[in-house]
Amino acid sequence: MIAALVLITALPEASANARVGGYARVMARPDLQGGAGRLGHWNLYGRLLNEGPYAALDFDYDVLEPVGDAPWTTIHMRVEGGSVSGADIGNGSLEHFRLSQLYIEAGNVWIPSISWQVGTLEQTLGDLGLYDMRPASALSDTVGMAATLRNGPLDITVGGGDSGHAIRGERYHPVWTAGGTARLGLGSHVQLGAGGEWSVERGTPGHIHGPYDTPGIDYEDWFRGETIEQFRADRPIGADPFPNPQSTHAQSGHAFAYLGFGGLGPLKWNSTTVRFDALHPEGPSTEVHQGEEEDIHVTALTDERTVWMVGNEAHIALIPDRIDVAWGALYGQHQDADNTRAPTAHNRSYASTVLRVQFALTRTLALLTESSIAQETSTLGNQYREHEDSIFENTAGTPDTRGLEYGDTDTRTTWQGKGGLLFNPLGPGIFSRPSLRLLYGAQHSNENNAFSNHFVTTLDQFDEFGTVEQHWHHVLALEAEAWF
Amino acid sequence: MVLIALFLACAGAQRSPAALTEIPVHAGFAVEAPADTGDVRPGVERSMHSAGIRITSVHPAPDPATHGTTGQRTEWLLEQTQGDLGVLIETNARKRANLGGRFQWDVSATVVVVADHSPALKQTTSMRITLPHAHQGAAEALAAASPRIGQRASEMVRQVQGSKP
Repeated sequence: MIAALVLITALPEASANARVGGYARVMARPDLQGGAGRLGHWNLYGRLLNEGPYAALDFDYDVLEPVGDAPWTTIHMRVEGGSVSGADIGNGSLEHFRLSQLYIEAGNVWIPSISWQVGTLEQTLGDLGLYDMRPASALSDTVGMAATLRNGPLDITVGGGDSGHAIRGERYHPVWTAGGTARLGLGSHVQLGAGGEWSVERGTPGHIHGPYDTPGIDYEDWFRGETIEQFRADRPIGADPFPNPQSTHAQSGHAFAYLGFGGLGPLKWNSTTVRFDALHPEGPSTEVHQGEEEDIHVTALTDERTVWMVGNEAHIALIPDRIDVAWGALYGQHQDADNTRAPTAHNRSYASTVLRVQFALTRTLALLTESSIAQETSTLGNQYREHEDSIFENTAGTPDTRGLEYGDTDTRTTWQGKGGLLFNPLGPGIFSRPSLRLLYGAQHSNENNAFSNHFVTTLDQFDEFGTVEQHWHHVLALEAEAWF
Repeated sequence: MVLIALFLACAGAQRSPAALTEIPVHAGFAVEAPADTGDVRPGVERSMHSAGIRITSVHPAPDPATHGTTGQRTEWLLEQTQGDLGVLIETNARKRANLGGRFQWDVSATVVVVADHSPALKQTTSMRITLPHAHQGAAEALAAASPRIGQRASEMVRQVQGSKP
C-alpha cells in the first residue's frame, strides 16, 4: 500500500491531483529502571513520555478536483500503526500497521453544498491534545455512508452503516450504527458542538457469532471462569446438557456535547467536552472444565457498562511567541451495574490535570516543562499493590485466595514532571512541528513499579530474580514528532 | 540545565537582518476566497522584514475579474510598480483531512518575482498546515503558512537581486 502511494504520487500527471500528509513520532528512551521506555501507565498523566512510536501516512487523490459548483470526488486513505524499527518491541513490523481509513467523497452531486462519503466514516470535532483523547467524535467504528452539509458557521454530518467488524473482529456479526456530529460557530469566539451514535446488534438465531445469553449464569461464577464447574456441581449426578445460548439483542452508543471559546486576550482557545458512553456488550468467553468446553454467552451480564467523561483543554499565549501554556483537566467515571463484586476497569473513577509550559529561547529553540497529577480510584475495592511484598488476592485487605480484590489499596496517585529542550525549525508555538526533543521525566506513584515492566511480582521462595520496590521512575528521551 | 546552558552558549549566533543588505520590494497579494489578503500579508511582511526585505504592499489587490491568471496579475504588478522590483504572492488553502484529532490543510503558494528587463522568477510550493481546532478555516491555515511563504519569497528576491549585474 505504501509503495503504491509512493508510486502514484511519483507520476507527474498524478502528483498534481495527489495530496499526501501524515504524522510521525519516534523516540529512544532507554529505561535504566527496568521499564519499557514509558514513564507511566497511560495518557492520564499527559501524553508526553507516556506514548510510544507512531506513524501515519495519509493520502488524498482528486479524481475530479472541486471547481466552483461542479461535481467533485476524492479518494482518501490512511495507513497507520505504532511501531518503528529499533524503537519498540514490534521493530517496525508491518503487522502493527493497518489501513485505518478508506473512503470516497463526492460533492455537488444531486444536492449542492452536500458532500457524500462512502467508506470509513470517522468524524471528530478535535481532541484533548495533552491526553491524546478524542471524546468529541463519532462513527469511528462505522463503515457506511454519510452526508455532510457545510453552510457558513454550521457543519452537520449524518451517517450510518455497519460497525460489526470493528466491534466484533473475527466474530463478525452486523452492528447497525447511525450517528453524526454538528458544529455551530457563534461569531468568532464561541463554538458549540454535539454528536453521538447508537448501535444495534439484532440477534440472528442460528448465527454462531450473534449476541446470545447463556441462561442461568451467575456473574461471579463467570468472572472466576467457573460457570461449567458450578453448573456440574449443582447437578452431581445428572447428565444434563449445558444450557444452549438464547438469542438476544445488544446495543450501545454515546453522546457528547462540546463548547469551545477563545480569542479573548491571552486565551487562544478553550475546549470543553462532556461525553456519555453505554458500552457494547461482550461476546462469549470459552471455559473448559474436566474436558468439557463451552462458550459462555454474556450479553446480559455486560450490557450495563457506562462511562461519563468530562475533559477540558485551554491554550494560552501568555507572552505571544515567547511563553505558551496548555492546561488540561479530565474526569472519568466508569460503572458496570452488572458487577457489584470485583474491581475491574469498568468500576473506577479518575481525575487528572496537566500543565504544559513552553518557553521560546529563540525562534527555533524552546524549553518545555510539563507536570501532571492524577488519581485513579477503584469503586469496588483494592486494585493496586503498593509494595513489593503487598498481598495479592484478598477480601477487604485480608489475604484470601478466593478473594476478588487485588493488592492493598483502591487508589493510585501519580505525579509526573517533565522538561527539556526542543528544536522547532518552523518557529515558536506549542503546536509547532516538527519538534525534536531532549526530555527528562520523573514520576512518583504510590503503586509499586507503576509503569510497564518485566519484573517478577511473585513472592515465591523459588523466584530466581527477586522483587523490586520503587516508587520513583526516571526516563531520559530523545524524540521527534511531526505532522507533515 | 547546565548542559543546556553550555549548549546554548556554544551555539552559533543567527545572522541578524542588519547583516543583510536591505532590498526594497513591492508586494501584491492574490488570495483565494474565503480567505483574504489580510490573512496572509502580516505574516509574509514579518518574515520578509526579518530577512532584510523591506516590502511595500500594493493596494488594492488585483481584481480577479480582470486579472484571472498569474500572467495577468504579474503584468498588473509591473504596472503598479512602474517596473520596480515586485513580488506577487498567490495563495489558496484547501482542507485535506482530520489527522489524529488535528485538522490538516493543504496550502498552495505561487510566488513570482518580477522587475522590468529581468525574466520573472516563479515558484509554486504546497505545504501541509496542521491546525488544532475544527472551526479553524482557510484564513487560519494561510496565516499559519504565511511566514514560510514569506521566507520563500525572500529567498527568491535575493536570488533575482543576486543575478543582476
